[in-house]
Amino acid sequence: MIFKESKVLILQNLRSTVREEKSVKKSIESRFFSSKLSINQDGLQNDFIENFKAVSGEVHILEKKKSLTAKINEFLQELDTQAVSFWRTGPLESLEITSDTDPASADIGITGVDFAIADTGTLVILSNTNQPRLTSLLPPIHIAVLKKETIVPNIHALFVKLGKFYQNYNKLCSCISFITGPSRTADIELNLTLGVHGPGRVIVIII
Amino acid sequence: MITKRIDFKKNSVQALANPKLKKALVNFTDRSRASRKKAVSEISEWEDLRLEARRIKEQVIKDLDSYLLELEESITRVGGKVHWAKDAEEASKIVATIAKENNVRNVVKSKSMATEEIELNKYLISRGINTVETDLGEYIVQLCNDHPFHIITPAIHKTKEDISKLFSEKFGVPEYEEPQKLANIARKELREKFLSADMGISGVNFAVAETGTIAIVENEGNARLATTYPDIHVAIMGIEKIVPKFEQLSIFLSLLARSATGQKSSTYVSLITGPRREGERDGPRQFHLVFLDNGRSQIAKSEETKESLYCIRCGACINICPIYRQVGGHSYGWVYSGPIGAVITPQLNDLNKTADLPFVSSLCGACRDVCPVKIDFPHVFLSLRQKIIEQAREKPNPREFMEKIAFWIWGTVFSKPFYYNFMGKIMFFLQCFYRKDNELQRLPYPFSKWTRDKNFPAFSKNPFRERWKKKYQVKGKAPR
Ligand code: SF4
Repeated sequence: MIFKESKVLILQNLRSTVREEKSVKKSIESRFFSSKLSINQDGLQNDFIENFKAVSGEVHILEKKKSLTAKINEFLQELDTQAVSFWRTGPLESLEITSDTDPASADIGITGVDFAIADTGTLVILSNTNQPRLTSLLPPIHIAVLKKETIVPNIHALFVKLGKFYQNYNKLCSCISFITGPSRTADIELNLTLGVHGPGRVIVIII
Repeated sequence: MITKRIDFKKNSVQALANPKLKKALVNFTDRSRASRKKAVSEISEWEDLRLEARRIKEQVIKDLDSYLLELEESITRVGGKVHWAKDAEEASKIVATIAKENNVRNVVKSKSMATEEIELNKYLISRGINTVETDLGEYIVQLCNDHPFHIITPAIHKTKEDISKLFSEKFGVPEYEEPQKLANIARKELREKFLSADMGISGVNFAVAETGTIAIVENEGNARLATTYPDIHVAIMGIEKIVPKFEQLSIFLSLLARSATGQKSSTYVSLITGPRREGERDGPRQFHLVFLDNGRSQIAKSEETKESLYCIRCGACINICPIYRQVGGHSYGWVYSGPIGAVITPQLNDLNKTADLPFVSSLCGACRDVCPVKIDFPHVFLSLRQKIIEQAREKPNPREFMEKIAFWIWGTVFSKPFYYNFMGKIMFFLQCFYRKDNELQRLPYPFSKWTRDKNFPAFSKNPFRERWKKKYQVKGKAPR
């Protein structure tokens, strides 16, 4: 339904406001780069781990000699399930798991991570044909495989990086999800409860 | 839309009489104040972020028309559709029409103040479309046919006992008291709703003009579900929600999470740019964005109060407000409460019916100090008050005359030490009928309103001025 007159009306109302020249936008990168943050990748990883754990997330670092498949199989055994839904991109391409379940009926969803933010403990996941959104959302447990070198210091640095990544924003993907720990609510007498809609456990494996 | 005059006094007296509510409010405001404070102190650039955010918002509201057109263009470019609604009625009609055209039967909603404002649920349900709130707090509120109590935590006025009884009644489960168990029940009930929904409705926290991206911030994941699973996604935004540039989101996202709940980041932020792309396996196939004016373009015109539109709905002003802490959300009579409610409700509705609200502030300015976009609340309150008084002046008003006399007496007594002393003495004798435990309780009319809710300290036989004089008598003249 189109209310043509409404558009005209709203714009007319707004045009009667006082006008000035649009101001020129300054770059935000340097101004909001907090000095307290670690700048080397090891420091960023430590910050990320600390902050992600603070929001009830779980973090494991992949041991040098172990393969990702072995590590993930350990989890599957421990959780006693084969109902897994997973992506086949990046480090997950070589994953040897036989079953691939629909996310709606899977117990575990396994995804990659495109970026992570150290000072908030946030995973950033982009959607595309090989990276469906529901894998990180419907199953009660989400395992996320994070490459250490994709951790950035803070959210401002992230947006600068996203800007570079997309060069021109016309190619922006349909959904960028920021995930900071498991799903939570405090709606019942302010008690923290996990997993009310999204996953109740989020396990990050850093490689 | 408000149809009846909001009687703040009556509402607040009711709220004050409820001790359970009082406890919940104190507990809630204490905790949210403390966690916000901590989160804010963690980053050194907090003040810079606030200044920058305010600067951006000033620019947006000033050029809102061109930003709206830019956003419409961007949304269209990425395959979405924009609808313009001048008021609540139109916005609801637009949503209902989209639903009808696509044979939608089941709608899942994530939390959105704009949809509360236009009472979208009622509209859709009355047209035979099942509409379910999916934010846990909102869901509880909807199940009891109530209204949200707070813009961030809608159900703080319900105890676990209330909720466990409610769930047991509605779903035939035992009366669990553990919040985790209650949440699990809600998860199960609502998951079914998500999987059978044909349309998801969400609000918008920020909309980026240059890219057509909308940002949705939440903790539960219900907004992600509502905007991913159903085939149609309809988002409704107040026209003031625009952010010009994509990277400016980082500023607003930092401010919002820390101000609202004291988190470094909310659990989920979804940046959605149009419907699913070719080849993608999930995400909505249709994306609609409704621009809701509903009085906002009028506010943008007012030099004095347009900053009310800078608000990012974090709720910090509500949590810090000493009045909200006492009287709670429902006293404000509409969807927005606390200081932001007291300034926005009268501007989005008939001022005559909402004239109580701009007076619901002690002008202490605590709200201004916490507001991430630095809204100068005392200033806005005063200019709204001025408007109300000016409108009232147009009709003769016996009360105004009485007030004039009262203030004249007050002014005379307080400006001359002699009168002041004399009145003090008279009062000391007059008060003997009302005095109890050195306090005045239940004064007669017209002073009875003062002592209705609190006691007045009694006039002393030996007032401070006398004691001061006596103390210095020995040394000569008392300093004034
Ligand atoms: S007015 Fe300021 S403090 Fe209040 S809700 Fe809006 S942004 Fe937050």
